[in-house]
Amino acid sequence: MNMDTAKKFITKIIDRTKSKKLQWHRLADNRPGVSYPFDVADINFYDSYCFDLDNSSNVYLVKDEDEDIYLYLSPGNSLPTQNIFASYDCDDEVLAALGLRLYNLVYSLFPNIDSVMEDFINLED
Amino acid sequence: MTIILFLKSEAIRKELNMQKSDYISEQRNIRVKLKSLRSSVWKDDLITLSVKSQIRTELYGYQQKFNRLLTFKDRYLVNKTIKMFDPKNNSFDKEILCKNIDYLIARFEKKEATK
Repeated sequence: MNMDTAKKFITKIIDRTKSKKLQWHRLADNRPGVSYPFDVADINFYDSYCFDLDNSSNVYLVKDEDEDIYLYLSPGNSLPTQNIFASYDCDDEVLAALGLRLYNLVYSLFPNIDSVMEDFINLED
Repeated sequence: MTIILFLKSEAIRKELNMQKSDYISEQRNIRVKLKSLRSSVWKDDLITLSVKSQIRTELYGYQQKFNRLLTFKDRYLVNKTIKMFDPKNNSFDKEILCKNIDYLIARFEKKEATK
């Protein structure tokens, strides 16, 4: 993998996420219990997010139980095959830091469960 | 008395070597984490509870894991940065936080020699 290309790719994803030109959605499994109508940031054991790069490919951002973060590029609707980087295993420190920064940014897009509950409680009937 | 002092210094020496070993194996990942958090705060303006919690957890971790390796200045800065997140502290200076993180990133560039 070309590290410079990967850095440019992730930087572009970050910029477009901030300008809301990219829409992320969550893929992770829900814990058993009451399911809420909103995507919330902190109810899950691990997280994974995705957006469609175009009609034929997807980018998956996944954080596993060991807190490692992976960015996968998947052509078509098949399972992710191309691992762009793993946050701590990546040889390039700048690239690894970019990945963690992207994760923090995407995570912040989804509301906290407490704020979701508060908003729901304050809904006018 | 001499024996007690010897045993104590031996315990400290072992602890120091263990911390050095942990430091060497973790310093790269620590730099990566700090750089990403600095970017989140500075470039993305993310001062969320999650980011604050991550920074605080990292700093508390350094206090626990590397207390024998950190200098007085290092420990003072870590404490000062943790205090920035005190809920009673109404003002929060992003620039000072990033400056402190810059120092810590540079601090974890330092190589520690082991025997």
